[in-house]
Amino acid sequence: MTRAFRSEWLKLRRPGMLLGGLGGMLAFSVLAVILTMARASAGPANESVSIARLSQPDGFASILERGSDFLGIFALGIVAVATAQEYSHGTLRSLLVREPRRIRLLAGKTLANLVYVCGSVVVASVVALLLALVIAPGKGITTSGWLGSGLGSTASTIGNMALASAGFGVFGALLALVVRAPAPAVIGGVAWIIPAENLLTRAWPNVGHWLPGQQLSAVVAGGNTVSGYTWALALGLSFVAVAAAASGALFRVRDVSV
Amino acid sequence: MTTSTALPLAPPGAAPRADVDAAIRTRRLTKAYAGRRVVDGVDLVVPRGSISGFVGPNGAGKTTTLRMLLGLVRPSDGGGEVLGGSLDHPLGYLPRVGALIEGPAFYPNLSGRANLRVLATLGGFSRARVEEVLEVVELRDRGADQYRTYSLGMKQRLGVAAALLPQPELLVLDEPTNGLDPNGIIETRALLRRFRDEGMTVFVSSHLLAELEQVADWLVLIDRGRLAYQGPIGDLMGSSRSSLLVAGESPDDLEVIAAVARRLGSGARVVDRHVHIDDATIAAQLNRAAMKAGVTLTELTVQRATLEESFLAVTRGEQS
Repeated sequence: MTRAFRSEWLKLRRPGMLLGGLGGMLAFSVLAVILTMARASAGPANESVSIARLSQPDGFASILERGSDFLGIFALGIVAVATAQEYSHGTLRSLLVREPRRIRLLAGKTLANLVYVCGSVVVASVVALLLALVIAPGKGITTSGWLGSGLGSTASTIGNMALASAGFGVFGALLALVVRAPAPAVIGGVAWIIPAENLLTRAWPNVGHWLPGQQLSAVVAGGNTVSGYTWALALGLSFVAVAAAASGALFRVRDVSV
Repeated sequence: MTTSTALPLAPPGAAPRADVDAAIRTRRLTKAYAGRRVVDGVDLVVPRGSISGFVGPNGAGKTTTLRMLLGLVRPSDGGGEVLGGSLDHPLGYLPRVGALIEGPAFYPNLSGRANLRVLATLGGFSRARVEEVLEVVELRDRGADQYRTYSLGMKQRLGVAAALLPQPELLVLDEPTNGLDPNGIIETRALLRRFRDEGMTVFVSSHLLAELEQVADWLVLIDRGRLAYQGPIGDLMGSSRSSLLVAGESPDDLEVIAAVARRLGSGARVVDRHVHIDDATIAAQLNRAAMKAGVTLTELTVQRATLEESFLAVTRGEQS
């Protein structure tokens, strides 16, 4: 599995991938900072986008949470494309001749992609923090708490974002293995997370308590109105485990005929 | 070639000969999709240390067979061994196998060298080995260029380089000369001979039968999923009917010669300044009969069937 991980890593560290994956996540994080701060106005601390709210120790964490859904979608897309391209390029044949132990190959490749996704989330968050620290004084937002008592909250949010992004990545890998082509995998994933889950939740509010995307979003927020943190973490991880098991079973038994 | 054992015109389903030192041996290898058998009970034998050609019409089941040998597709029935390891456990032999299946497949945005490093890392081979195989296929100078900028011929050569990474005992190549110019084809031919001379077994599928005729020692022919022939390539061509090319002193003699040949029971037709006679076994009788008819033959050449003609004869079921 180590060789599969290192082999995949050779692909991930190329400039184009860094630009497309990490660059994309950076762009979303920076956009979240700029838009949130631009909207920040005088108002009580219980308003989500007020100067008072953002000046609280967990103010930066609340900014990060606003962009987290997009990071999750990006993570799903990165892993789905990286996995499905092995079919569309025909490279899976060569990989399996060199590593016929399919589960090891899949595990090593997916792990490398998830490490890349999580690393990108952390780097994007740190860059967003630096940017926010530069912009905040001009908007009258106090940032002393962010790096003081709020540092733990920020770190926890970044950790949850990385965890949720990894979860979305596992869903991306499963979709890629099912459809074996990058575009349908990404479109299917995005269609499920954004319109499908939102429509289901609006139609039947209690259903959100059981949907995978909603649980991962709740994990990032440390729990929300849909699900508490513990429930979201447990159910979200269960969904991820089922997706990983399904991916492994499918990859192991299916003929490679492309 | 380590053996000259012929397995001519093996009937489908016949047990593979046990007296061949085989790198690949299958028993009733079968693959069915939705009830349709694309490979049907193939008993394949590829002698160790040979260049073996794998031919058959489009859709005959060649690629599916190769995929089964490489563990990419699971047989529906039957089995076999590759380099002594069971098809059920590809890990037992794949580290000693190099393969180029259905054309070269690489990451277009990576350089040729980086593509090979991805495979070398996965297989546990050194970076020095990457440079060695780039040297073998003469791509070292272009190794830093992105794969997508390569010509078709360069892509094929990179595919061969990838197959050579493990210093394989068995090299499986699917259409390795596709897209190559005449020089490239000649170089590939020389490479295959070199690999064979170094002790490697080369199993090469190609639709360029003239190419295989020049380089292969052994031939496996499948048709509609069934084994139609396997054995030394010379045996197949020798077993095909040879023809005669005959000329006389004057153009007027040609029709006489053709009529004599027909009287002797062979088909004959005049084409340009020659008579083409289907049955070469009548050569002596023809010579005598032509003399009696007052015609002196100025040319009498036995034409052996080409591999292409032998291939057509087998696939059209003309051979017994």
